[in-house]
Amino acid sequence: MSVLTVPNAARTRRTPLHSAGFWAALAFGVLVVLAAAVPRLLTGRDPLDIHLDQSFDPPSVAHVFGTDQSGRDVFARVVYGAGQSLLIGLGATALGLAGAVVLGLLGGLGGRALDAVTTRFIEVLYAFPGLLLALILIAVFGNSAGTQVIAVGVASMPGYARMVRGQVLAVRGSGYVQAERVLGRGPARILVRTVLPNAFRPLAVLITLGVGQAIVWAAALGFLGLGVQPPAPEWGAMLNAGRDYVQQAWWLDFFPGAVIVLFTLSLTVLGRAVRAVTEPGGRR
Amino acid sequence: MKRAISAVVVGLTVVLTAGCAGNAGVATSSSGPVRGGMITYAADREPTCLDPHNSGDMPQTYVARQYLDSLVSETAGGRVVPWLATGWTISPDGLTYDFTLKQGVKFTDGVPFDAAAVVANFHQILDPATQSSTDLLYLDSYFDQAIALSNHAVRIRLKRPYSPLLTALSQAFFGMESPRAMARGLAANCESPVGTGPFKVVQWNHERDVQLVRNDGYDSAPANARHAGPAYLDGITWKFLKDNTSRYGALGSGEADLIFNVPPEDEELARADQSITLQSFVHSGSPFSLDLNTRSPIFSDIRVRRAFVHAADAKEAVQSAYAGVFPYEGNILSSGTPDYDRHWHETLPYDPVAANRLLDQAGWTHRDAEGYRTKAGRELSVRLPYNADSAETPPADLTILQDVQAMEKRVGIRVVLDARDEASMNAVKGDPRAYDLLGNYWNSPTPEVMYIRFSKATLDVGNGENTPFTWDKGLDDTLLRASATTDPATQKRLYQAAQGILAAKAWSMPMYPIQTRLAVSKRLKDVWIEVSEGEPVLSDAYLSAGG
Repeated sequence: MSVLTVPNAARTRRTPLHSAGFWAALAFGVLVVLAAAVPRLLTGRDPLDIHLDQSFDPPSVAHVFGTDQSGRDVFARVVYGAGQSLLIGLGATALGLAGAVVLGLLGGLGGRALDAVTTRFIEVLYAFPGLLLALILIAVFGNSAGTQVIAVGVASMPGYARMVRGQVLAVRGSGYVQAERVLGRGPARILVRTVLPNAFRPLAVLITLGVGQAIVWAAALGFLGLGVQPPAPEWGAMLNAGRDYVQQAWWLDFFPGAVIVLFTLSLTVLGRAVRAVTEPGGRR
Repeated sequence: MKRAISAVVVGLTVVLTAGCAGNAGVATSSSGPVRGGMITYAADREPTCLDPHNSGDMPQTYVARQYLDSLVSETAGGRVVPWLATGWTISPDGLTYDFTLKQGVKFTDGVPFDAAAVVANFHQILDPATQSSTDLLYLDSYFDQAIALSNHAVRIRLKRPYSPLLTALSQAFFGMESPRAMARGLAANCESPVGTGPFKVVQWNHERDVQLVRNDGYDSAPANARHAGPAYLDGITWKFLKDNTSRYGALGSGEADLIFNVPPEDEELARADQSITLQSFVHSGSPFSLDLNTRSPIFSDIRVRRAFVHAADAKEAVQSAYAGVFPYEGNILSSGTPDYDRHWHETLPYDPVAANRLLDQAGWTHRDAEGYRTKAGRELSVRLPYNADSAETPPADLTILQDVQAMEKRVGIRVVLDARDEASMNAVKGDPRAYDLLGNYWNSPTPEVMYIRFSKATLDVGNGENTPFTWDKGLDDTLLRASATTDPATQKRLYQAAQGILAAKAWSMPMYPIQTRLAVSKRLKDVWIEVSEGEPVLSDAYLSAGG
């Protein structure tokens, strides 16, 4: 969960708009989102179509990322894989956050007893290695993109929940909330209008980073042969399938691996940029 | 799913010595065999039970060969030679086999090997509690009883003549086990079966290895062994390394002295490696095939079955996925099987035009948005469950399945690849509603395998081995007549006719024959592959002095 901690080095004196890295990350992020939304814009090839006479062709003008053991175009598979990976990343993050909000609010607003119970529950979840938790869920519910979303979402939930609880507690005890109480505003209004917006602002950064984390986890599960099944294009599953041929066809693992790294890196850079813009301390 | 039994292939054991002839790095063994030393054998699959009478899958027979002896053995020329039985006579009507047994042999628990022990073995094999599948299907239609005539003479009575009997008995699936050990019950016997063989089981560390040590009192080697008397090696660690890359790597790192199943994708590297020797054996019997479930609503129509086979370029798929290392086989029998008829090789060749025509005739004339055919609003979709474990469905097999899926799509058939775990695959196997297509193979030294795979008798046993869930009276009669005769010409004619019947039925889409492929460290000498089932034989193996 180290990704949930934004290191101090992330702080920069310049605004993100002055950074070439930011623009490169944004461009790559947009490209991946485009690939996920309209893959046909980037490739005219079918990611599942085989050409046995072209198996293991190295990268060339015709196949920029080469072809796999069935002569399928690796570039087309990486492009179409973006949809799966992004769906799992966003879905899992959304699920993780939704669960975290419930747990965090219960802990932060529910009184001492409820806080103790939810905190212990979060700690138990937290103590459980995320990937192991995901593996158990997949073992129980079977292999599918849906299970991957649930598995990664649940596994990322405790990290978010702790953040939400901490933020809610901090905001609840803040001077401006006390001021609102003094002014006679109702608890519901204070919760919706003041506590939630203030508690969630720092989470914007985490969400950006969390999507990247979820994609890496989903790829890890795919690499272990769990989640989306072949021949469906998914970055982790592609890494797994290419592993057996790594000695003779390096491109099968290199390109999906590079895209996972670059996309996660892009999300990290974008997350830092969001943080720099939203956090008062980030724009010193 | 991956089930199989044995193999005879005359002259198909190929020894490929990696690299050039000279090898300065490995000590020569001019001094001859050396006694001593432990070796590690790395297998791709783990048996479910070490008693091969139970179930009857290939990993069982490979390991069982090291601690069980059979009544007879088979030579590379297809001849049956003495082993625990020193001789036998067959009555003129083919119904009575009298075996004379080797004297002075003891099981490693001290129980003497005698006629009563042989009788006990047949009883155990046929006892439903043993849950035999392979042995049962070889014997069930023919076996009547086993009788101890004296201490060292045993009679087997048959219900009907069965000329492949001796060949069948040469397999380690019919290895002789101690009656005392078998009496402990299936669970205990699965863990530590006791035989008269060159090694004995010390311990089975599940999901890790089986520890075997030499039987110092061994003196019952088969007539075709390279030496008599105890094995040279002190023992074997029979290790399970199902990941292809790790297993091949274990050989390079010295963690293993020989490995089973060199991955085809590593073939080139293995050939170039000066420190190892490659041995391969192409099994006879029934090749790896996709069987079509005739009880499925879609494949009950022979036109759709034929269309399915025509639509897939199986030859190209095999050659591509197995990099030319595994040959394509388009007949219901593998080419090394006795009485194989090449005429029935690839009777339904790749022909998408024919496939489309047959599907049109069958009424699958409409197409949905994705291009799949439909009839009365129903999509032409078939389910193909497979074992997600990479040891059960190796990468090349998975590639073939995906290639078939893509080829079928071109004629409008959706193939749903359904990755499942082991337990779920076992449930699928006997259930005609659970699949439309299923991968299967049966390694066997005899064309009798056609009866085992596709007879009414096997269907009636109900253990899911008749994967197309069907039978044909003409086929059954032909095969029963073939096994009843001892005249080679008549037998050949009948077995070849049976291949023709099966080709016309399109119950199965053959792909490639299974192989035993060993990579052996050059310091380990005299490893050989026997021919009834392609079992690695380690009782003659020794570590060279330089090793």
